[in-house]
Amino acid sequence: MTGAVLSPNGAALVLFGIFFGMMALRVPVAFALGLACLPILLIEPRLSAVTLVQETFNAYNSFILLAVPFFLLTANLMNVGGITDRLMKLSRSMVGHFPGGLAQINVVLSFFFAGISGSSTADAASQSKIFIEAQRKEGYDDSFSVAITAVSAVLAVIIPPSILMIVWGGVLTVSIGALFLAGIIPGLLIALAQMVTVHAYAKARGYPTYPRATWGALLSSIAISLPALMTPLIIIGGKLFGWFTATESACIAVLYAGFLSLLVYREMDMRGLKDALIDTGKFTGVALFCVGTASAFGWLLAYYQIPRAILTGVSAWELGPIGTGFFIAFVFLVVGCFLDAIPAIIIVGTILEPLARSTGLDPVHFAMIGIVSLAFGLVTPPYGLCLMIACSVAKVRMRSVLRDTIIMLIPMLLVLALLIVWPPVALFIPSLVSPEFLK
Amino acid sequence: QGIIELHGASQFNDDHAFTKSLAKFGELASSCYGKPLNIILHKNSELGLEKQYFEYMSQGRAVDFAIVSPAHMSTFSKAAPFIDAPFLFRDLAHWNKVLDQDLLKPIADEIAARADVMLIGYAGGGTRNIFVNKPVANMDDLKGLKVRVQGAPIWSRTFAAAGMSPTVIAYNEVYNAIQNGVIGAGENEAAGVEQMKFFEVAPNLAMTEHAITIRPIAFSGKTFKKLPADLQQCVIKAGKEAGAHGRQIESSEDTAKLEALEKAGRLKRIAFKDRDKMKKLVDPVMAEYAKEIGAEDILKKINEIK
Amino acid sequence: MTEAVTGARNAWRRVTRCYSAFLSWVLMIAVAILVIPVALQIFSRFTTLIPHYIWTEELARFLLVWTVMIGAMIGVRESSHFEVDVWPVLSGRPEAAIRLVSRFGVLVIALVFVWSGVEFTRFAWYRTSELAELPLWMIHIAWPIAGFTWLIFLGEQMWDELNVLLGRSSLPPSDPASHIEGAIQ
Ligand code: NA
Ligand code: NA
Repeated sequence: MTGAVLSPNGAALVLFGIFFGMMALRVPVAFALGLACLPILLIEPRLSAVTLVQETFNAYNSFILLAVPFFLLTANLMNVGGITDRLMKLSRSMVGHFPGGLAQINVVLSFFFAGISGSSTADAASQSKIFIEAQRKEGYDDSFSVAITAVSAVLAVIIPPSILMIVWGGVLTVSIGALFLAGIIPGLLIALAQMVTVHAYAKARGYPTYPRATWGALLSSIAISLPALMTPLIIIGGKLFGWFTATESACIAVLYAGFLSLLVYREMDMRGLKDALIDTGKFTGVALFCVGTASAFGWLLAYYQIPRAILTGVSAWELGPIGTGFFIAFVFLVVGCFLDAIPAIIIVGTILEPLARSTGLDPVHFAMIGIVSLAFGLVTPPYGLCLMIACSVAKVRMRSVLRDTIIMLIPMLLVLALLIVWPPVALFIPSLVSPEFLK
Repeated sequence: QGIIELHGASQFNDDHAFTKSLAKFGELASSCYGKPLNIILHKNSELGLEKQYFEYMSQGRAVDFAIVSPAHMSTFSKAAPFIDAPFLFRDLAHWNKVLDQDLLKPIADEIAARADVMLIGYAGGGTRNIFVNKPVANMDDLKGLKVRVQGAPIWSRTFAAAGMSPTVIAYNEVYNAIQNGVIGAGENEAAGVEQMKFFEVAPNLAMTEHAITIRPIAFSGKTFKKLPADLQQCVIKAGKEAGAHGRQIESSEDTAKLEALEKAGRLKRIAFKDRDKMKKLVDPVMAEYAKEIGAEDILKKINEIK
Repeated sequence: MTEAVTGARNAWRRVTRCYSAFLSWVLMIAVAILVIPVALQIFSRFTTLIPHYIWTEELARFLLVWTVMIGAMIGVRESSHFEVDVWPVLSGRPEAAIRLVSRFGVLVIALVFVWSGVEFTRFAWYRTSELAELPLWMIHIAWPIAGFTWLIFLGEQMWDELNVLLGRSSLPPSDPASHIEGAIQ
C-alpha cells in the first residue's frame, strides 16, 4: 500500500535488460520473460511471485487461444491423412513445369495449406520434411531450399484462416470475419512475389523443371483435391453465414480434416492419429507457454504505465496515416525478431492501437499491417520460428541461410509497403462482401 | 514510511460511469483523510478484467479497489450473483429502497468471509434490456431466441425458463457472434450497448427491463487491515458515497444514452408487453435458486418491500 | 564414477522416461477430448438432439490450460522451448557450461512455480468454477506440478552436464526423447 519502489524507467530497464540478457545466455524465451518479471515482483511490496503464476493462468484460460491447438491438429491430420499428398500432386500439375518446378510447388502447396490451416509453424514443420531433402536431391542449394520453405510458410497466417487474426480480433476487438477477408489479397500478392523470386533464382542458377502435366492429369488432380479445397470455403463461409464463431471455426477445420483423413482419403491409422495428437499437444505447450509469461511481462509494463509514456513520445511526431503505417510495420518487424507473434500482439498491439486510432487508420487495415509484419517476423533472425524449424530439419545453421532469406524478404516487404500506402489491398474484399464489417 | 498509495482498476475509459465512480471514491477518500494519499486509477483494462481485479483484491496484491460485477465473484461465493440476479427488482424505486435498507448485507458478509474482499458501496443502476437483431415485443417473439447471457448459471436458468435459448459466449465475442448470426441477441444496460457498439449489429432494444444492475465498489480486506484507523473510516464513508454517486450518474445517464442513440437513428426501443408473464415464469426459478444459496429470507424481504 | 552413482543415475533415467511417457499419454488424451466440448457447443445450436450445455466453453478452457502446462513440462525434458540462436557451435565443456547456465534460468522459474504454485492452489482451495462448478484447485494445481516436474527433468540434465564440465563423461544430446525413445511408443 506504499508507493512503488521502482520508477517506470527503472522498471523498464530491469524488464528489458534481464529479458535480453537471459536470451543471450540461451535461456528459452518463455523462461527469459518470466525471469525478467521476477525481481520486480519480489522487490515491489504490492506484488509477489504469485502474480506471475496468476497472470500465466489468466492467459491460458482463454477460449480464443484454443484456435492454436486446433489449427496445429488440423495440419497434423492433413499430413498423416493424405490431404497434403493430394494437394502436392495438384500443385505439381499446376506449376511443376515452371523453372524451379519443385520450389514453385513448395510455394503453391503452402498457399493451399494456408487456406486450411492457420498455423505457419505447422506448415514449416511439415513442408521442411517434404521439400528440403527432395530439393537437395534435385540439386537445389540448401540455403535456397531452407529459405523458400520458411518464407512460404508465413502464408499460413496471412491467408485465412489464421491464428494471428483470431488472436488479434479477440485482443483488440476487431471483426475476425473482416480480417479473414482482408488477408486474401495480401496473401495472394505475397505468394506471387515468392513465385517470381523462385523464377529469378531458377533462371540464374539453372534449377530443374518437370514436364508439363497434361490437361487430363491436371483435371484429375483437381477432382481428387476438391474435398480438401472446400475447407477454406467451409471455414470462411461458416464464419460469414454465422454457423460458428472464429475459435469454433478452428474446431470445424479439425473435424473436417479428420473426416477427410478417416473417411474420404482413408489414409490415417491409429498410430498416425496418436502421433498427430501428441505432436499437437507438445507444440501447443511450448508455443502457448510463452504467451503466458509474455502476458505477465506485458502486465508489468502496464502496471508501471510504460506504454503510455512511450506512446506520448511517438504521438508528438505527428505522423500521418501512411507514416504511422510504416512506423507500426517497423515496430512489429523489429519486435518480431525477438518475440513470438501472439505475445507481440498482446504486448505491442495493445500499445500501438491508440496511436493507429488517433491517426485515423482503419482498424482492419492496422490489423493487416501488424499481422503481415509479424508474419515476416517468423523468418527473421535471431528468433524466427519458421526459419528455426526449417534449419533444424535441414540440419544447417541459421546464419548460413540468412542471405537467401533476406533476398526473398525484399519482394515481400514491397508487398507490405503497397499494403500500407494503398489500403484497398486489405479493405477491398471486406468492403465488397460485407461492408458492415468496416467501421 | 512513505505516502500511502492505493491502486484502483477499471475496464473502461474516463467517460464510463464506473471509472467516474472510482475517481469520485478517490477524491472523497483523499479529502476525508486530509493527509497525503496517492490514488492511482488504472483505466482501459490496463490491469486485466474485473474478474482478475477481484482475485487480486482477494490476494491483497496489485489492485486495492475496483468495481466488479457480482457474477465475477461467484467462484468465491455462489451467493454473490444473487446481488445482481435478473427479475429481482420491480423498478428503480424498488431497487433504491432495497439498497437504502442494506438488505444485501448478509451476502456482502459472506463474500467478505470467503474472499476477504469488502463491498464498501453499491454503484450500478443501469437497467438491462435485450438488444436483438429483429423486433421483439412479446413472449412469442422471444421464444427460442438465441441470447448471450452472463456466465452465471442463474442467468441461463431464468432465461431458459422464459422460453429463450441462452448461450454463454465471451463478452468480447458477442459483437462478432451477433454480426455473424451465431446468436441473435444479448442483454446489457445502455452503457454497455453504447461502449461495445452492440446497436450496430442488433439495433432493436426490447425493453424487458429484466434486471437493474448493482455494481459493488469492492475493497481488498488485506489492504484495509493495514490502513490507519482514520483512513479506514474514510474508505468506508467514501465507498458508500461514491456508490450513491455512481448510482445517480448511471441511472440518470441510462435513459439519456438510449434517447441519444435513438435520436441518432442507431437504435429502436421497442416496448415489451409481457414483462409480468415473463416474471411469472421466472419466479419459481428464482425461489429455487434463493433456496439453494440460503437467501430465501433476503428474497422474501426484497419482495415484501412495496 | 562409482557403481552406486551410475546405478542411481540409471534408475533416475528410467523414472524420468516412464514419467514423460505417462505425461505424453495424458497429453494425447487431453488434446483428443479438447474437440468434444467445442463441437458440442457448435452442433447444439443446430439440433435439439444435442442438449445445450452451458459448461462447454469453460471445460474447453480448462482442458487447454492443462494441455499447455503438460506440453510445457515435456518441453523442458526435450529441450524444445524456443531459444534464440546467437552462440557459435560449441561442444564438450563449453557447451555443457552454457547449457548449465541456461538450465539454471529454467530452474529458478521451476522453483517459483512450486513455491508460488502451492500458494496459488491454496488460493483456489474452497472455490468452484462458475459454470461447471468444478473445484478450481484441480486447475491451479497444474502450476506446482509443472514446477516439480521441471525440477525432476532438470536435475537429470544438469547432473549429466555437470559431469561433462568436471571431465567425467561426454555430453548427452540435449533432447533425450528423440534419441532414446524414438518418436512415440
Ligand atoms: Na512451402
Ligand atoms: Na491460413
